[in-house]
Amino acid sequence: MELVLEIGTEEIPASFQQPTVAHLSEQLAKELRGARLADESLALNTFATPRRLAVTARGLLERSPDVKKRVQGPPIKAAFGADGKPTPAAIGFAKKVGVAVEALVPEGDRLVAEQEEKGQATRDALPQILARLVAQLPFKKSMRWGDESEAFARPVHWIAAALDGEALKLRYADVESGTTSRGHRFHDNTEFALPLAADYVKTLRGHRVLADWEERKRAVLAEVTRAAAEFAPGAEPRPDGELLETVTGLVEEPHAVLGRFESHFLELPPEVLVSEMRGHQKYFAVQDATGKLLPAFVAVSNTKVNNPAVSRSGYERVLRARLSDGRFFFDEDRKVKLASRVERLGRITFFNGLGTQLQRIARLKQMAGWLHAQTGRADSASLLEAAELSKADLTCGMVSEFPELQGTMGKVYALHEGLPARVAEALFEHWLPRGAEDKLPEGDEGALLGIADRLDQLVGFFGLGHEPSGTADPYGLRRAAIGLLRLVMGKSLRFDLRAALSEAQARFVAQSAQDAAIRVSQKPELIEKIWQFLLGRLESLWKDRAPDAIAAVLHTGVRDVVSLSLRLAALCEVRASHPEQFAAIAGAAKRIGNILEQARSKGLVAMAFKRELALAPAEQQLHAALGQARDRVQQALAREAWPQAYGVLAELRPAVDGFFDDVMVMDPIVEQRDNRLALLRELHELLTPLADFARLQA
Amino acid sequence: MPNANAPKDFQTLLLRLQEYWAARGCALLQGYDLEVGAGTMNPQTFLRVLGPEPWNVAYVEPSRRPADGRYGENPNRLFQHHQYQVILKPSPKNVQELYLGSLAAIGITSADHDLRFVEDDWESPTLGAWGLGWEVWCDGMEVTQFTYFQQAGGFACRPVAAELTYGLERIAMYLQGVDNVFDLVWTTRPDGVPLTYREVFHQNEVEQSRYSFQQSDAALLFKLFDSYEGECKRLLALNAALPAYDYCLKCSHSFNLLDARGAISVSERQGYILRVRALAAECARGYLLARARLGFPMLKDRARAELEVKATFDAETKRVEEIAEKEKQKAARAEKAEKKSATAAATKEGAA
Repeated sequence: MELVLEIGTEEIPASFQQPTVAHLSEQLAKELRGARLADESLALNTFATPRRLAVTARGLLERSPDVKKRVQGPPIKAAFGADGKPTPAAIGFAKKVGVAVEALVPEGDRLVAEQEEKGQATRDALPQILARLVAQLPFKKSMRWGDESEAFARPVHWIAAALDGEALKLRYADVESGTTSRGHRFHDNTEFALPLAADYVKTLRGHRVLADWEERKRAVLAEVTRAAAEFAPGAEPRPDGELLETVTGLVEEPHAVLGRFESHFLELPPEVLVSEMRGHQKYFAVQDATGKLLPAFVAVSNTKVNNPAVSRSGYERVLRARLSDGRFFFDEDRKVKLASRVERLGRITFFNGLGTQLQRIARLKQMAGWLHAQTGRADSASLLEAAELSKADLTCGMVSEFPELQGTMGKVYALHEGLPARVAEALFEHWLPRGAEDKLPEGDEGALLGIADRLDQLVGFFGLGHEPSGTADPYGLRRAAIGLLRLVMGKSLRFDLRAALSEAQARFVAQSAQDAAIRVSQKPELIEKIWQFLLGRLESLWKDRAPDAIAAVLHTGVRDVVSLSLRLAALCEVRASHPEQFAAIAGAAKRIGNILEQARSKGLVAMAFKRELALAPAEQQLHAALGQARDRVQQALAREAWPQAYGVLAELRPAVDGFFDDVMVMDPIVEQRDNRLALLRELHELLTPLADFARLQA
Repeated sequence: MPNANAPKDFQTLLLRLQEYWAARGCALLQGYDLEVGAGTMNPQTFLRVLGPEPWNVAYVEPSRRPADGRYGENPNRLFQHHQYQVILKPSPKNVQELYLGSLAAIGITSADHDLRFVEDDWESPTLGAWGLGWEVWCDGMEVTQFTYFQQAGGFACRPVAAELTYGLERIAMYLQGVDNVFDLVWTTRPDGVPLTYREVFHQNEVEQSRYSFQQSDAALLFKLFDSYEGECKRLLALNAALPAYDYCLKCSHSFNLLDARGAISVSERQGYILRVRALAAECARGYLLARARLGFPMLKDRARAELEVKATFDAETKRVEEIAEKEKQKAARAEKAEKKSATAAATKEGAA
């Protein structure tokens, strides 16, 4: 059987549409399978436009099969009295599940009841399921309307639901379901019979609605491309996936219109022009084959109007006013140099409890300096100048109009002032990466400044008790942590990250001594908490690595993230390429670790190994082999040639095996025992920098 | 872009909207006679959206925003602009169609224009109010704010009111095809010479901008703010919610003037907003309770009215009890702390 469900609404926000139908379809599948109304042949499709959310399901069963269910009852011991008669416990259970007490059968040490659960006709089961699904759809924000108490993304106007073309009756808020859908708000404001699943897209297309998201998106792009080419041969829309998605969520049938603006506006930075067009207006920018912006844009309408010239002149008017504003800001902003804007940052609060933007800058400068000293990277003077100016563009008119241009404007204005390119680049690049897909800075100045900024953010917000909880992360701390780790690894920046956190905390402590408005926790536990948070993010970045390998590397106690990542790569590589060797090393390390751990728990401390006490040949052999290997391993470690270190350690295998075959560590003679423990500790110390092997699964 | 059916001047635009909404059951009221930043602040919206009584009104609100003044030099920005405000409570099911009908009445139809409902969340921190809806676009230009009121003064709106706020100057500029607001034709004199927006308002823009940015007396305004706040609270204690709300509006406008003057620092700003918000919330409560005492007389269904009255008083009783309980706990804590310090002092004395 097949089901079609369509919820007709007032215009739903573009960003809600796709996630909502995805959720609807997931939940529907779950409910259908849970109620045994569908098996593997169930096929679902989702559709979303500003005015409808729809799902079709094919392969539903006529009815759910009857099933036998076993319900566990009381223990047999408690079920029958000494006289062999059922006790009240057994009688009560039988009554509860609705079978005769004689029908209870033993299973293991308990009584069970066999219940037959009758199947249900799909047609009878569906209305309730659908009503529940509709009522429980989650939205980022939802609203009530009229006298109703239900809340939806926007008011619901119709629900059409049919099983094999026949009506399913359900009710939501003030809407009774029917079997009619409606066409495009303006082009086909009619009701028509809800089609079958196979005809859904085609029928709606006939009523001027492109219901399929991907089809509509392609149609938007085709329309926009067509209109852009009207400007000049070779002119094309500037690719913008995010805008394309948004516009797809704003129309049911796209109609693109080309507009123009005066070419003198092209003197504005391209980022500004694009923001003006896409941000408020949702227009596509138009460029030539080389990617240079042209004085044109494309707007996408939901209607095919009588005379596009009318709409066009409207689109152009609005954009012209906005570009004039942009031009005004651009000219005004450039009258004040970035350096003289810095002092104004003292009047802008960064965050309540973290002081002003000026205080933030002071911390960033010190942190950037510290990172430079640790890593030896970046040009020190450029780095400090960039740190000083890094937030200056916050005071620009353009940035208050377009917050997404922060950083971009800093760079544009810095270049305009003739500041060094390195400094200007860093003003933009220290914001990178802005998301999971974003690129990393090219320059070291931007990278170090970006790290300093994120350290300050993490310590500051955690230090005020604003750590993320569940899915809520209002201060973007997960993103900051991931960005920080990507910067450190991607740019190969070597430093002790935990020490860097303490350093960032020390900056806050120093400021709060001067200013009570800064209230970041001064406790050392704060650092441990953030460090653990960062390790959690590291694990998520390494999600394609085996979890036990990650745990083994993280427990080396190393706090240089680049080193951790190299160790992990080596471990995984050796483990895969030389499984036997690796297993031997790991096995030995585990065994030795266990012996040392037991000894420790008995209060035995391994002291230094004394050669003259080594009586057994295997003992002497291991000591000799260890002596030869030690220098080579340490050299390899110093050069971070991890696979080589594994190779040398693998050579120790015969000596280790011989030792364990011939020698008893826990010798009754105390001196012997302690000497052997000391030997094992020396060996263990050679292994521990590689990984905590105890964490590895065999 | 002019259209044959479009109102030829600003006042015809108003008349068309008035006629349209009057014919759809709205009482035509007037803008409030106190300074407000938006039609929403008029008690005919802010207070009337509270409680269960139906309410359908339309009015023009001259809205003053001191920080938006541009000395009459900017073609789009004004110290004072005009909003056309419509409240439909409860929001009717066909409110979007009614709204589109009003656009058609002023010559804007979907046949000729790209009309779109684009997501917009509305929130007023000073009024403790929020709602969801759209900004309505006509050929890419925002012409109306369309909001389903969810909360006002911290109270859930039940039923929900639909609020339509038309930006009249913008719409008129579009209809008349002018790029400068001061070039709008307000009406045409008997001799055929147009009376322009410039002639009506330009001097006001210049003087009010000058006042807001340069001439206002910040010390006086701070004092006024405090006095208005005090008076508002005094009136609230006397169960005079409507007069109290007038003083709340005066506070809000004083704050806007101080803000435009740059007299309020960033850190103080939030504090002032919260003070106005607290007043607005109390006025909302006072008004709602006053209507409940009257038995929500505009509710036709009297049985429901009784239930609503009871629910309103129950909620209030519960709130008062919760406050009393909190006070009690606070007092208990304070007492405990005092005892502790007294004991400590005694021990100290003993040691000495």
